[in-house]
Amino acid sequence: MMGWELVAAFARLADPVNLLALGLSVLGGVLVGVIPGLGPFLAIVVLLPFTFHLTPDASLLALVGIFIGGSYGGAVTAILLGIPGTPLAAATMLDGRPMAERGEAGRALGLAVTASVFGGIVSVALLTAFSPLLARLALNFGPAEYTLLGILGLTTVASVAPGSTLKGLLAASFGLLLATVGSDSPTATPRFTFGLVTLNAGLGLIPVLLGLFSIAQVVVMLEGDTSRSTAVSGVARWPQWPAAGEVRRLAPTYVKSSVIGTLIGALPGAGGVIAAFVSYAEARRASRHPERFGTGTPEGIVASEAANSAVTGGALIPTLTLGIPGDAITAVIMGALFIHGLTPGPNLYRDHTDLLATVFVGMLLANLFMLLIGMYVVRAVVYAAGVRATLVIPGVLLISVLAAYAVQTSMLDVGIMFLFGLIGYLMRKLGFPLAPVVLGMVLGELIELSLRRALTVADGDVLALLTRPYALGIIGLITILLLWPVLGRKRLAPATGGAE
Amino acid sequence: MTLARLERVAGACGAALGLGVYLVARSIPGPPSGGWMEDPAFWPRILAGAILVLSALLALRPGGPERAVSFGRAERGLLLLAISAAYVWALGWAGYFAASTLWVAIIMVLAGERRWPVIVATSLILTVAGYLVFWKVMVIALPVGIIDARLGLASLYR
Repeated sequence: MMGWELVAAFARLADPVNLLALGLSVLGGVLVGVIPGLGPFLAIVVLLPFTFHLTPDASLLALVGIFIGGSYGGAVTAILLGIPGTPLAAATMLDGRPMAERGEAGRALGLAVTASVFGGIVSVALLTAFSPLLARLALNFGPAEYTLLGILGLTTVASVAPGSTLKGLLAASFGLLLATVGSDSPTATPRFTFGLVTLNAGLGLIPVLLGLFSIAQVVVMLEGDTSRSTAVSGVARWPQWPAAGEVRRLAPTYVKSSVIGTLIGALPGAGGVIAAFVSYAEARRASRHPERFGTGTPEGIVASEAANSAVTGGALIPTLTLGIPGDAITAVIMGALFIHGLTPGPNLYRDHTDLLATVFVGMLLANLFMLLIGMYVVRAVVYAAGVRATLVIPGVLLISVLAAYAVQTSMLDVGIMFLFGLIGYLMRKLGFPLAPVVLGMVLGELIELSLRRALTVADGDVLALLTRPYALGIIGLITILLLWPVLGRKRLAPATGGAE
Repeated sequence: MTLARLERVAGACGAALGLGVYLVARSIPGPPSGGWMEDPAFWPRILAGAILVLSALLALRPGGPERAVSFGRAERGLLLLAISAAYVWALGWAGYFAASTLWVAIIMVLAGERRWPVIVATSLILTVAGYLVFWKVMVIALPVGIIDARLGLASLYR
């Protein structure tokens, strides 16, 4: 379907700007993954305003580069310091740290990076092979299906998010509400602008994201002990290439974990942490020596790293084919597509195959960059984990202020960012998930306009929307997701005596 | 304070937000023609209802997590937000260089940095780096203020 485009994509990737965007972003992703408290999502949010100045190719390459690099970076500190730089690396630490403690840190790092790269490449291959098929299927979808798909995406993220489904749904509704601020596009009627002309264009996605994630994270960091730095001296080790015999022995784990990661990544809301733990549990279940897990077994490292990296390709499947992002990171990548005037969905596959091919080949290349960085540069990168919070905090804050200001050169956006910083901090303290807010904000217009269009076509008959076969299937999924917490509790109650 | 109690407070606030949104949505003018589904207030009203119901459920649900929520050194975070609000106000009239250098230095002190050479060097380096990336590379017009002008830095904005 996109054979020639994939070949031509190599030529586009030879453009120095594209290559530089990709290489630097992978390095940046690894770096932010290494620094505890930061992470790929924060880096993507901060990078988003910079992508205004890049071509769609370069900006998407930069964003997926950070996504890919960040998915691995956390493993470095998890192995060397026993601190997962990102939650994605928590499962890697279970075996990576014990292996490092018995003097095999180089081996653990080598296994982690090769598994990450393998997982990433498998997921790109599956994304390239299957996403055009899903996009073709999505051509049968009308406004009713898009409304329901949007709601399905939100419901999934809300129901699996940490906290409770109720809080997840509230957070998603709040995100949808934020998306209504500004002029209603069909009628140009201002809504919730309170007379501020600047708000007619709506609340900027970037200031809100920077506030909810970057500023709130800084406030949380300030609550902790910011004066101490992590001791990294003497921990740096050169990663070692895994021996051929070990690779052969671990091959089933590499493959199975990569497929698990891709599949879980494609489910809205699941994400890399769940993928890593599910894959780790499966590797342990399938192992002839499950008792060795947690003591520094290579299978544990490979299972976790291959799966959490494979999520990168999997998560892009629903985002690019249906326009339904599976998590907060892909929601921001979808926001970047909107910024460049591109609408994710089947039409993207019809009208911009060249761009998609560039992204797919770029992801492949990003994984190869990560292999080089992971094997030969990471020894220097690990020292970033020792940077004091007293230096990280002002750096993150100043970049956030400038990034929010740069969107429209508006001080109002900077003020909005700080306001949402306070909201994000309170939401975190109260256990509200933030990802549904982002998804609600990104999907808000799509859901509202699709619903209004569907109702107009059906002449206001709500029941007519529910009789379409695809729509019925999606409604079934939404119902299961909403009832799952109740059904799950009922199933659990007899086993636990109702004391869960 | 326990999380359960805080959730009840959050539920009450959410219900108030839902009610407020519903009331404000009533003032949104309707479409000149067409059905109710073309009304720009139609979707906000649905959301207001959803927020109201979900918040009420959160506020009224029995039990809930009894673990205590620690706000740690929340005063440092709140102080940061207050100082940043002042910075946003000062940025316009003082100018990017003056306001940002001072703000970064204050943030570092707030974060616990006490080595003055580090504070001075970091605040200057970060401010200049921000200027180079945003003004020189991205060509974003940063605010020029009277203090920057008095310090003779106005030429940097050309």
